[in-house]
Amino acid sequence: MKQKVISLKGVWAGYGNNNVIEDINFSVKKGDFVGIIGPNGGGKSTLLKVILGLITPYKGEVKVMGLPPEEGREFVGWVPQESDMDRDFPIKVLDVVLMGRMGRKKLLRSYSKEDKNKALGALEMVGLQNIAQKPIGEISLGQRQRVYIARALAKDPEILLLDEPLASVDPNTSEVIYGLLKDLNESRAITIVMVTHDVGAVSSYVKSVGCLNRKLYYYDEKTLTQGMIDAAYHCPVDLIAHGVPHRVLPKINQEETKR
Amino acid sequence: MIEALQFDFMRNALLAGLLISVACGIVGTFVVTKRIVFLSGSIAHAAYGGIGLGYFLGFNPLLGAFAFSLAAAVGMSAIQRRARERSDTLIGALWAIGMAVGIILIDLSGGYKADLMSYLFGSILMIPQEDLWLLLALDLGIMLLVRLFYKELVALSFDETFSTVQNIPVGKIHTLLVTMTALTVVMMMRMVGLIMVIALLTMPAAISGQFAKSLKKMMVLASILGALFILSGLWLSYWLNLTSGACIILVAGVSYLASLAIKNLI
Repeated sequence: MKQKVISLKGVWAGYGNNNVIEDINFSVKKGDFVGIIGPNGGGKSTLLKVILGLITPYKGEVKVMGLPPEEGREFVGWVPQESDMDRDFPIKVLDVVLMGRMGRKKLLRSYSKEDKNKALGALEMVGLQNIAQKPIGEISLGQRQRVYIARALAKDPEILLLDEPLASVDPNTSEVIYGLLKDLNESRAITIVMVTHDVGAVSSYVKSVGCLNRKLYYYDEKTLTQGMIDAAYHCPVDLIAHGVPHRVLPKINQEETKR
Repeated sequence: MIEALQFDFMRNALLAGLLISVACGIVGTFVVTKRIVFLSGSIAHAAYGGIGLGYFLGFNPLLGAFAFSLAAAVGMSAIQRRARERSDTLIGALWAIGMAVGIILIDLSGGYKADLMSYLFGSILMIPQEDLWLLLALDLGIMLLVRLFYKELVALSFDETFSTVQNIPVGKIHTLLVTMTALTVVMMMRMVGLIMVIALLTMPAAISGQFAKSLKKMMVLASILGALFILSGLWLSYWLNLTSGACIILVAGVSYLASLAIKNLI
């Protein structure tokens, strides 16, 4: 049996008195590629924040690499939503990627030659070595998304955690990014957990699927069967029962019928 | 302008303006990029409570301003990091409470308060010689701290969540930033007054941020702009016999609006 790199047991978490996710039991094995789908407000970002130790759960236990999340996140590369970022910030691509090399131990020290090489290597992995010196505000959305992936890779992570990596990216770019993630997962054995709206992509790239709407429905399978995809696609139907309005499902159904 | 330089107070004012623009350019750059403009405004106004306390208890009001603004900065930094959703309301409340405490303490202390207005509207022409040394120490201190914690300060301003995930001591770096802001704000208060301090702190950085491609260049350009605004504002005030603080802020404000227009035309 493979090592569990992330494990959540009976986790309840939220903001203030407002519970967002309930009774989450979930574990990720080394080398897995997990896609978590679900509606807005279903708790996807909350789940990621719990794994990153940014939110302390009300109940339950979280372990990352067998450690509490505050320590375990040393091994996690975090890729936030592009839309959360400040595009006007005057900073060069390479300097953003170098941030992945920072840590508590590196206080009062400048970046070393090794840090710079790792950062350049990470940029090369995402195919952006030629724009290292450009300001972050002058590159395209898809490139920026890859820069944040490079920043996460610069620390040599065991796990890559991505929040909506393809929100507001065009289809061609999303294929490039998915291909990149697939390659990182296969050739570098990086475990990937990705939260997304994109149900179609989940079905063609990931190894396991979870569907999150307050509760997590997790399918720990290596191969996706039609039945599982159906079940994942159907999971938003549960939302209607919960009285949460939902926009993802109808759109996908239309796309499916067009194909 | 040249004949104005024969006066000691004018020479001191010019030197003070040049010195403060260094601190202002460096700290202002972080205030603008980290988006703590409102918090900085609150620090400036909370300082008034300390000025009142100084009058009331009979010690140097500037010391009171330092103490109050530092306490406000550290307190608000903690509030902002804990209760994110409502932090702006709380910061707004501290802003007003500090001001109110100051006004009441000054009411209670009675006596003659000639230089009270100088804290509100600034009095760069009344800067004493020893303040220049204080300003120099402030500049050197800020340059040293920013040099030591540069990459952490940049990371915090750029992406606080990511910095937390990287296990950078985000809380301490944030406190360092607001502490530097508080010290700069109190020193600037002597020049343009606490009401306008926030404009001089942020406008040079905001202008330079529109054109600079890196944070270091943004700081250098902001410092140069700050110095230009202070010098030209002083010259205007001397020439037209108007309040110096207001002249400086008007020059900065008009330049900021012009830079926005230019940026939109490009």
